[in-house]
Amino acid sequence: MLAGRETIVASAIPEIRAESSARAAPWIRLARFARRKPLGALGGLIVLALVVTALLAPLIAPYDPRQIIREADNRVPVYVAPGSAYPMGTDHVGRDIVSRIIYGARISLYVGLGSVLIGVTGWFVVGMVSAYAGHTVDLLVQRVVDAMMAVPGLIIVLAIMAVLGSSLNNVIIAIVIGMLAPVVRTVRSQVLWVKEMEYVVAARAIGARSARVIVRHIMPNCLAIYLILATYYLGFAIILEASLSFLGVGVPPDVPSWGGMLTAAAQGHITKAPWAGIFPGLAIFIVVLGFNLLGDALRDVLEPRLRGTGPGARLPR
Amino acid sequence: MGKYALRRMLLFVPTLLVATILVFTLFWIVPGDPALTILGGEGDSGAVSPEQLQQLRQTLGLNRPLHVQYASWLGNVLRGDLGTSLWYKTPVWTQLKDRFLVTMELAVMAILLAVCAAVPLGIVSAVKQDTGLDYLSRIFSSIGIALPTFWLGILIVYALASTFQWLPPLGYATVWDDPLLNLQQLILPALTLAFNDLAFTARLTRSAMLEVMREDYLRTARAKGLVELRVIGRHALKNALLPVLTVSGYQFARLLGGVIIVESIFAVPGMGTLLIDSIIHRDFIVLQAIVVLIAAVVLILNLLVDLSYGVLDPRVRYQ
Repeated sequence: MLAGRETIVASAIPEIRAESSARAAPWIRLARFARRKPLGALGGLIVLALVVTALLAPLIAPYDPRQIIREADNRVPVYVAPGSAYPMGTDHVGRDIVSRIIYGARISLYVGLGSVLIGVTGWFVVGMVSAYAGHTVDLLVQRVVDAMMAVPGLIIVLAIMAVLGSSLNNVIIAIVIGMLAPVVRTVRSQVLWVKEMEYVVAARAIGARSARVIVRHIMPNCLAIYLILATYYLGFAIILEASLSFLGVGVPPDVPSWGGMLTAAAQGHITKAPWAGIFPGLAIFIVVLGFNLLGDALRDVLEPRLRGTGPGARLPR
Repeated sequence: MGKYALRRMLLFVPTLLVATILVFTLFWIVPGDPALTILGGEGDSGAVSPEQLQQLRQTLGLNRPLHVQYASWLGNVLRGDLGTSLWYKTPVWTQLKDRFLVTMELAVMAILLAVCAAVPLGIVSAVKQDTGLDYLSRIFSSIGIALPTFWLGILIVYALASTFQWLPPLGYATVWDDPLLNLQQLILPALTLAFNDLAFTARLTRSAMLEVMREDYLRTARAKGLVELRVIGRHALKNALLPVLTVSGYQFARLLGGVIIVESIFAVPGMGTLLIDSIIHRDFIVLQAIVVLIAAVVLILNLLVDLSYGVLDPRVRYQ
């Protein structure tokens, strides 16, 4: 009997060791993550591919994305089907689509990272302060959040673009404002939950100042949710930028944005040149799917409590 | 119930008020002079005469303090006067009322399609958890959530035009005038719009069902010998559908955002195309009216959802 129990304990030890080696070398932890969450790893690979493409764009793009191509006999290749010369064909004014998609990765990543770094970080602080302070501050913030929740995210962003005018950085400003309500709301509910945890109550009981409680006790416990939100919202920002550019109010038309590339396709050109409508959309779809899969996996691993609130849960679109 | 309903309704008024303040300030505190922007003279100021500018400021009431402007604007809105379009020079409401109905019909159609397809999908996925069927429906919802609405719309148009040489007829006929034509015109935009929501609602239904199926009362229902269909249909579904209902209310707001894209792809003469138009023409009066109208619709809908939630689930009334 006793021997039996010992074997059980003994066999449990390697498992415990495996668990505790969570502090192992990063690549080992990465490999473990990939084995546990193959779809998340796929998402990570897609994101990595996006970053590499964006960084190496000038090296891998065969043509200048803004340049209208002139062939040997001075002919402009308008809507040439995909082939050896142009792997994804050319667009309605004679630009190489694959080059525009490669450079488009830069635009998507720039808008995504810019709006997430400013938006998620900024609104994160607002949500945290609102929940921690409570009372009047919280009440005011809540009313603004409720009011902004009432208007679809895309419409908020469109209205701001109408006021600011179209430019790359204005797109970021608009998306940042569009993120306010959902980010503040999510963070607020997380902090309200953490705030009641015993260690926070204990810290306050022994007289720690608010700043210390927030920085030392609350923030570390919201780090996971920050990471998850940032991942989802990168995908969300990329879709929003594409929607804006598609509707003609995002980035200026010569900038190679995936959404902007689809505008001509929607104006009846799709039957003439399906490739011009298919490839840019596919790029958006794959990248957003990548961010969502990675976000799902991060959520399951870091904060399983949030399971069931998918990527679409709080995203206005 | 009365107290709960009253509390919800009391919350509705300040929220709508804050929404109008936000919309108003957005359009009038922005950098630059709205009058100058409207006249299109930003950048090359020589194109606009100072008298013209002064006159427009006068008609817009821009020379009054902001809170006075807001109060008079709000007063007009409450009396049903949404202002006069800067571009079309006609009252905004005459422009908006037909288009508003078109958009609402489209959105309601989409949400009904989405919920009717998503709930069964989510239930099957939950009941047959971790089977091939479940994986299939989960992959489907992951794809649906990441699929951009505008791309899906383009692909649908392409598929129809290239295989059937058919496209939805342009324009809009009301259901009363010509129900068949109305259906032909709106079914594809509605499907496109529904797809994203469908994926999301299916995922939500699945997780709500999974949660409910672990509850004790389900074990009791099975233990007393109920047929599985009755266990799922009566005991599980009734409880699982509550969160789905709440979220569908919020989803409606998202749908109204997607409407803009879908309307512009399928050339539906709704509020979305007017919104894009008003952005291009810098017609801020129309833009303002549309945003406020949408906010009001969404808030009223959320209020109704909250109230019906109170009726369906007695627990929330006492919180």
